[in-house]
Amino acid sequence: MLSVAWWTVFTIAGIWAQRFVPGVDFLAPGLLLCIQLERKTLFFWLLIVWSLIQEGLGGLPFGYSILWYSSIVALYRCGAMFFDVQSLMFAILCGAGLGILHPLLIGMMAVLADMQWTADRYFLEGVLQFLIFPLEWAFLKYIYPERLKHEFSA
Amino acid sequence: MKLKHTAIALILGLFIYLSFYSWNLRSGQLDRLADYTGLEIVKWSLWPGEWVHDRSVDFLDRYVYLVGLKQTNDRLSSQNDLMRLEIMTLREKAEEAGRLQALLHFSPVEGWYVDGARVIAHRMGPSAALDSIIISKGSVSGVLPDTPVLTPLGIVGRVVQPGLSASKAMLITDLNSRISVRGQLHRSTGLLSGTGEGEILNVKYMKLNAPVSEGEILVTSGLAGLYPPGLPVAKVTSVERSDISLFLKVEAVPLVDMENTEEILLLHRNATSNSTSAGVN
Repeated sequence: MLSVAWWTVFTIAGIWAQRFVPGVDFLAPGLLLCIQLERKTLFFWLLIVWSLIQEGLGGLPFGYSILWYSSIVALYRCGAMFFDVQSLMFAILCGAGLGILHPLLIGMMAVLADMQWTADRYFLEGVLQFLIFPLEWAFLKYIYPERLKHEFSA
Repeated sequence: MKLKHTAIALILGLFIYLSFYSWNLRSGQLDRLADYTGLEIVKWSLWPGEWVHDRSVDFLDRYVYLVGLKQTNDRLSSQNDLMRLEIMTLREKAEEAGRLQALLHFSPVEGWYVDGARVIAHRMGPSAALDSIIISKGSVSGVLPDTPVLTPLGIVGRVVQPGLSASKAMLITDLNSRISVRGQLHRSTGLLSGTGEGEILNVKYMKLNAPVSEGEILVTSGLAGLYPPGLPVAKVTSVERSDISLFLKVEAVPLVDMENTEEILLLHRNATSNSTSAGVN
């Protein structure tokens, strides 16, 4: 129950952070942490709720956040073959991957939806995502309560 | 063997994703689900903070600083907004009356009514591809797709995705925004298109011989049916004539400061005019 409360507070804090830094996903580092903690049930619910939040906020047809969050899972799976996926280095690589992916994904989805877009803004947001992702992940890992790591582990 | 399984899972996943994407493009069900859930979660997450912020600012303004002066200023400011809107409407009506005197059959402009709402947030989230704002009213307040959003100064944009109690509106500065406009003085028509956040607006398809001058206010023409005619949208900043184009190169700036707008007005069609047009159609 405490775990649900913690993630709810994190979600609200993430939404507020997104309000001040447009175009950056502040919830994504939480998802990586959740995968690293191997909390499958929690991951599933967070994925659904956060996808709905990001899709509700976004201006593209439904689908961006599915690919966006799936890419974190894919990066984790691929990264597990070569790196220590619990390390800060992997979080930096994951941030870089998402930073590159952001303008590409927006561009692809905008083309599919027959919308006009300018790349400059999204490249800048990609850079911000790359910078913010590992820092936020490290902060989350630091503040995540030890006792919650063992609460209803799935 | 593992590689084979991964490949199958990937192809299957892609197939399911594309099926859902195509189905949603046609039906819009998933978009509606996201608007009615995600947008609501965001609204209710932001609302307590907004409320505390408003109350603290209000308290400081009213009780710590200039109490009486601030109240008078608030009252006069709101009166000024209403009068400005009224002047704009009357000016348009006066211009219109002059032109319509020559016409035998006058068809009145459809009825609209105004509703107020707050701006909860501006563009946010990684998938925010549009220059947009999130407003505090949704379908339960009668907000529909394409509901015009404006302030007493002019048009802000239109609702693109209404949620239950919050909606998303595309600003006129967005690359995908197009509004049919005409000059308030010379009545030349054109298509006002956005070029991105903080950028100037372009007026397309204004004929080379069309009379238009710098400083002229562009108002909605009402031709597309989304906006009622005569609402101010932008001010012309430059007019260039080209030797190689059939149209003028006209640039304009929005009349509304999109960044700092906190309250907006929503224009709804009157139920009677809706039923009338439905009957006609």
